[in-house]
Amino acid sequence: MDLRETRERIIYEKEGAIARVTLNWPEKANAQDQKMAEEIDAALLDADRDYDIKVLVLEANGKGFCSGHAIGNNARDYPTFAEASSHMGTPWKGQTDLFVKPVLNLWEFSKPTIAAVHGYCVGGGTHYGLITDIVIAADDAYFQYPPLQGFGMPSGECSIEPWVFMNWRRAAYYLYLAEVIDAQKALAVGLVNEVVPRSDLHARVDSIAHHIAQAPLTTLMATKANLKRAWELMGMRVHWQSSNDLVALASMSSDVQALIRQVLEGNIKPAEMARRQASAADALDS
Amino acid sequence: MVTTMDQRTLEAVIYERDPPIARIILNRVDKANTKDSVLVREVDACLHEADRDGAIKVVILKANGNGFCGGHVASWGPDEDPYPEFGTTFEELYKGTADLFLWPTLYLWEFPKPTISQIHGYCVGGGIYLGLLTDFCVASEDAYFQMPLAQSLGEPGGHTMIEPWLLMNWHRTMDWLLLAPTLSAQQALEWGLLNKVVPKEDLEDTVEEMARTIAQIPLTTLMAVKSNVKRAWELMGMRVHLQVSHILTNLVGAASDVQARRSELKDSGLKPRDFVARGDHDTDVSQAE
Repeated sequence: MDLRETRERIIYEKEGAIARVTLNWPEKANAQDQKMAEEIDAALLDADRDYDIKVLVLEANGKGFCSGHAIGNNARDYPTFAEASSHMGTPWKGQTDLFVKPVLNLWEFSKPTIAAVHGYCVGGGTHYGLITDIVIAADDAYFQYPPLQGFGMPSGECSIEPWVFMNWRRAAYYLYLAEVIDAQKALAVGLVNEVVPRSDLHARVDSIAHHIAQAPLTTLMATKANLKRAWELMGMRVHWQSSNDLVALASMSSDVQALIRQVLEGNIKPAEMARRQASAADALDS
Repeated sequence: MVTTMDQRTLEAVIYERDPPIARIILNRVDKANTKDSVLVREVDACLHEADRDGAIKVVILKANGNGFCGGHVASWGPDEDPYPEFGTTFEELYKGTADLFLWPTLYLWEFPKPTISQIHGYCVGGGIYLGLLTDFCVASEDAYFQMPLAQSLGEPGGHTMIEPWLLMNWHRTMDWLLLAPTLSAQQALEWGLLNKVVPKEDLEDTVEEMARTIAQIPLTTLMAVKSNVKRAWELMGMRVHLQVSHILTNLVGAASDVQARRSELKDSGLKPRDFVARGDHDTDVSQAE
C-alpha cells in the first residue's frame, strides 16, 4: 500500500514497487545519530516484508547525502553507546547494534537497492551511500573517510573500503590520506555507476528503479542473493564484523584517545582535522 | 649416519637435538612451566632452530615436573615482571600480547614438520596452545585439561581461540569455554583432542616410538602432508579466526565488567583454576591438583 510518512529523521515513502527512504535532517547535515540509524533500519525491515516492494531507493534532502556519525555528544546522539559503556565500560555493543547490524542489513537487503548521492557522502555516510547495489551520483557528489586522520579510527565499524574499491592501493590511499573522491573520480574507479547533473538525479534514479522493478520479485531477489553470496564467500561479512572489534579496540588506545580529545576539545570536526593534517604535511614539503 | 645428541639447558626449556628428532622440554618446574615471556620466546626460538635444521624431521614437545604446562602467569608480585612486552599502555599490551600469544602460537600450529606433544599432569589455560596444537597429542592417564579463563579472568580464552578448530563441535566448544570442565585424559580422548592415552610409565616410549616411525618418512613427504593438512584448516578460516580472536581478547580485557572480574580474582588470591572451583563440589575438579 502506498505511503508517505515524515518521521523524525527520514521520510519513508512507498509508491508502487518502489520504497524510498529520504534522509531528512538537513539542519544537521543528515548526521547518523542513533535515531537516524534506527529509523532507516526500521524502514528497511518494513520494505523487506512488503511483497509489493521490489526496489529500495536511498536518497537525501539538503546540501548533501550524509555527513557521517554525529560527533561530540554521545549522551545525546547515541544513548545506546552510553548505556553500553555504563554496563561494560566500552560502547562496543552499541556500535554493533547501530553500525554493524543495520549496515549489514542494508548490504544484504533482500531486494535491489539504489543510492542517489549528492553533495557530501563522508565518514559513516559512505556506509549508506556506497554499499547499495547501485549508486548514482550527482555531479556535485564527493566521498571521503576523514576519521583515520581526523579521529584516529582505523575505518568505520564496517570496513567497507577493501570491498568497494576492490583495489588495495586505492583503498589504502583513500583511507590513509583521507582523500576526497569527487563524482568523476568515483566513476573512474568504479565506486558509482553513473554521474548525472544534480537536477536530474532524482528522476534518473526513479527511472532506474522502475526499470529494475519490471523484473519478477523472485528473480530480483535471487540475483541479489547470488551476488551477495559471492562477496560473503570472499569473506566480506566476517571482515565487517571483525573490523568493528578493531574500531572498539582503537578507541581504547591512548594515542587514539589523545587525538579524539584534541578534536573534541578544539571543537574541530574530523574532516577539518584531516584537512589541517594534510596542510601541515604540505607545509613540510615546501 | 653417526649422530650425537646435543642437549642445551636454557633458562626455561631444554633443547635436545637428537636427529632426526628434536625435543623441546619445558623445564621451569618450580613455576608449573607457566608461559612467561622467557618460556614462550625460548620455545619459539627452539622451533625456529628445529625448522632450519635439515637433520630434524620431528619435534617432540614435553615437560619436566608435575605437569605439562600451567598456562599463562595469572598473577605476580610487585617485583616480578613475567611479561615486559606488555608495556604500560593499552596499545603496548595489544602489540605485546600479539608478539607472545598470537604469532608464536600460529608458528607452532604451522610449523613445517610434524610435532608431537607428550602430556602428563596439568595442561590448562594457555598451556593448551602448547599441548593441543601439535599434530599428534599423546597423554598419560594422569593428564587433565581445562580452560578456566572465561570463568576466572573473564577472558574468552588465551588470545587465540583454537577450540572451535580443535573440537570441531559447537556444543563441546561452548561447554569447554564457558563451563570450564576439567577433562581427564580419557575424556579428552573421547572428545577427539588426543591420539592416545597410555599409562604414565609408557608415555615416553610411546611418543619416542611414534616419532621414530614418523621419521622413517622422507622429510619432503612429511612437510608436504603437513602443509596440505594446514592449508585445509586455513581455507576453512582458522588462521584469520585466530588473529581476530586476539583482537577480541584485548578488547574484552578493557571492558569494565571484565576488569571487575579480574579484580575479584586477584582479591581472592586464588589461581584461575581454583577460582572456578570455589564453592564447587564437582568431584572432577576436587580430585585435580
